[in-house]
Amino acid sequence: MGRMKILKSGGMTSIQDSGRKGKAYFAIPRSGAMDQKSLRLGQLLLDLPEDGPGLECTLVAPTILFESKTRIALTGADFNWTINGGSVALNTVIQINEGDVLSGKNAEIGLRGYIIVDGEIEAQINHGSKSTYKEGSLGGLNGQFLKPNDTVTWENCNVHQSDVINIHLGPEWNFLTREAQEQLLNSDFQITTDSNRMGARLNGPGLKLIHQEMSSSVPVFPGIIQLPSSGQPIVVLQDGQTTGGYPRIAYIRTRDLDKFNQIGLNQPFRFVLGN
Amino acid sequence: MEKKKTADLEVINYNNDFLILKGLPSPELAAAARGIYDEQYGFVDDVISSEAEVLVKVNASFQNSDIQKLRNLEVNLNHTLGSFVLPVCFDHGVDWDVVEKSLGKSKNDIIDMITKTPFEVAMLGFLPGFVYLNGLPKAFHVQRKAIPVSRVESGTIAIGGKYIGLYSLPSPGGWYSLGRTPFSNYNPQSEHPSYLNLLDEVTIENISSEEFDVISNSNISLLEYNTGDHG
Repeated sequence: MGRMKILKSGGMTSIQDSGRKGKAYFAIPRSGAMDQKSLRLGQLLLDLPEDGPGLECTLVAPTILFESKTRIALTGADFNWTINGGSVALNTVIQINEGDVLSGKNAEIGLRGYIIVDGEIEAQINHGSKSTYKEGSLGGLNGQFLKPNDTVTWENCNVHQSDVINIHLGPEWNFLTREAQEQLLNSDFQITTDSNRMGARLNGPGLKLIHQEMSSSVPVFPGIIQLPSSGQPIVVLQDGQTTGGYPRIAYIRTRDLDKFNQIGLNQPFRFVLGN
Repeated sequence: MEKKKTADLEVINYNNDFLILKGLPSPELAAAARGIYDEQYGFVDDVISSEAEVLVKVNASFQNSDIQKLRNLEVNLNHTLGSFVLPVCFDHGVDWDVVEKSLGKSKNDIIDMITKTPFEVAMLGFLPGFVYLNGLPKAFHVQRKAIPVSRVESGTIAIGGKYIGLYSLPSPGGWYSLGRTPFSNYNPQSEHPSYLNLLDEVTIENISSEEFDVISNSNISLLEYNTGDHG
């Protein structure tokens, strides 16, 4: 879990997410970030789900003490942000150490800024959203703007190991021997140089199959991991085929494929079973 | 027009990432895939049809109750079938040695079987213009390559598993090359970029490398060759 403490509240600093959708029927305002695009930009930079919360400040920057190591992104208006007095850039990932203090000045070029931390901020959920609606006491920390001495916590949800890729069991997972199932999840693999936009050929321990191939060709899509009888998997990529006859032992979700496609050639990585 | 309900579809949900549909005979399954594609459901990102199963890639708006919509489809089994002759030069095949050895049959016997068998388009897939043909007798089935080669030339006729396949684009491939046709089945201008359709009948005609060159240098298409519209 991560923690930060508000030292100075800044302007209307509050927890906001993508808002309360479809509740106007009950006269409940939408709420949510005033500049959704800037909030989403921060979430994309940190590889977070795009409907999660961040802190929004207006006109005046808050001062925040980080009590945990994390990574943050600052988006929206330019508040001349600093960490421990040293300038930091907008729209990039910033490493934060325990004890670092984030502060800034008044908004320039724009009005509202966003502080996105690497995790899911914990806040009151009302009508499916954590967005602070002060007048209605919904969302946020007891429905209020943040004030000095408030502590905001978050659940770390990303594994930031560039060398670990989440996979899920494919339709032919059971074609693998028990030993090969273990090997797929506990061995180093490398993407070989004879890979292209159609597929990534992997090099790892030779995985053994109980059934060598399918009786007919079956559908595949970018992210599917096929296993030819050589025992070396192939990951179907963006220009990949739509059907194939090799067993589909596992798959990488579309969102995790971005990370996979940035792994350097011949650089060792591992697969872990996602939830 | 023959209509069929899809109520018997078996649906397996993979973590709300994709669904695999099966449990119907191939023609009905293919018609169901077409039906789902035509519906343009908001929760569907892609529909991939194959002989044994249909894969439906779903997005974040998918809910389990949507599965019922797929089972309530009324699909159309009516389909006009085409019949094609596909000329193939077997001297352009590059994997004859392996195929002869693994089947224990001579090149001539294999060509004889291929040119006498009426094939049927089992499915379209893999890459645009690629055709899977059914009809290969069991004694001629071969296991796919353990390591797919990096490049198979366009027009290659190859054997893989129980299928004869036609590569319309150059690509990596795990099947054994037996020859090449001078025609492309890839029609990039069309929304459905294949001249051949599901269940069309295909007979393979043995041509020499001279005939291959003559056809290659002419500008006729596979359709024109088959309708005799090439003078």
